[in-house]
Amino acid sequence: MATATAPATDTHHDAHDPHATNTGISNNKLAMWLFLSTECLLFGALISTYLIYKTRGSGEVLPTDLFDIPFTSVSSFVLLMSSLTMVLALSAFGRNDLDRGKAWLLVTAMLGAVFMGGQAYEFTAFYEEGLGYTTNPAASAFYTLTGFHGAHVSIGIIMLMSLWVAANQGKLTGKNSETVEIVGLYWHFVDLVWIFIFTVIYLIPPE
Amino acid sequence: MSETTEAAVETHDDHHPSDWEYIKVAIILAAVTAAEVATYFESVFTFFETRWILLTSLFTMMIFKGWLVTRVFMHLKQDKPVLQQSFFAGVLLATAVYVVALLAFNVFG
Repeated sequence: MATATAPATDTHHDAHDPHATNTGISNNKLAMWLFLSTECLLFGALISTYLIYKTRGSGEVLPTDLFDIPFTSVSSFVLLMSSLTMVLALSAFGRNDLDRGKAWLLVTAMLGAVFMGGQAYEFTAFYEEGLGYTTNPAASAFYTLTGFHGAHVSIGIIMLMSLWVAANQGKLTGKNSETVEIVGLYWHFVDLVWIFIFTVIYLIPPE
Repeated sequence: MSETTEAAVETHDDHHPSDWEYIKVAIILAAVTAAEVATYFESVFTFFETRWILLTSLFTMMIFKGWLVTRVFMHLKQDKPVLQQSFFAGVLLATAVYVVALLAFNVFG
């Protein structure tokens, strides 16, 4: 088992060193991928529910009447760029460039916070236009879907800030950069889900 | 280490893209997003003669973006195939289940 016992000269590769498992993959990483796989079913259910109910609300305001595509496009762009900063953070931790890694983590969390601010603004604007959570089935399905996604982004921000604090305390270095990779997988998945929501819910025009 | 594990490790491509490669992918993602958003504006929207062409274009761009994020940012291109299989099993299951559900509710008209 020469590879595993060799001194870690290149910390970037530490996260991918062989693990003492049958698959050669760390259990934590495999668990995150399996968790993300099950999340596809959760978001699939929420998206399908919205598609079924999106026109249910005759005579009332519907979410599709209120969409502000230019505004949501900017939010989408912000979340997309946070995926870039996340992967740059992982790359920096892999090189043991801790200062840059911490900076990119902070930028990623801030971009996530900007996205959440956009969602809070959108929800407030919709509510002021008369679209409450129980106004009609379309509104309920829309708020549930985007709210669940927002909750995932919020959890991601908490994880990113936890990593940032751990890095500042010296508990997170290039040697355990796999932790950053696992949080990164979650963050990219949240971005992936938004790519789908943005197209299917916002961009496809009603018939 | 078992033989199985060693074999798996040997076939594992550990090369991760450089920062510049990540930036190039992000630029491509931004450009595709801009193209998606452009379909919202009437001057571009009318270019698509039928709804079918518009939907095909939007879905193609969406899948391309998702493919780039998973392959490059999530490193599925470099990681072991079992991770890809684990994830796409969920994606395919979700797609199959909910397409059938949407068909049952006559969502596609």
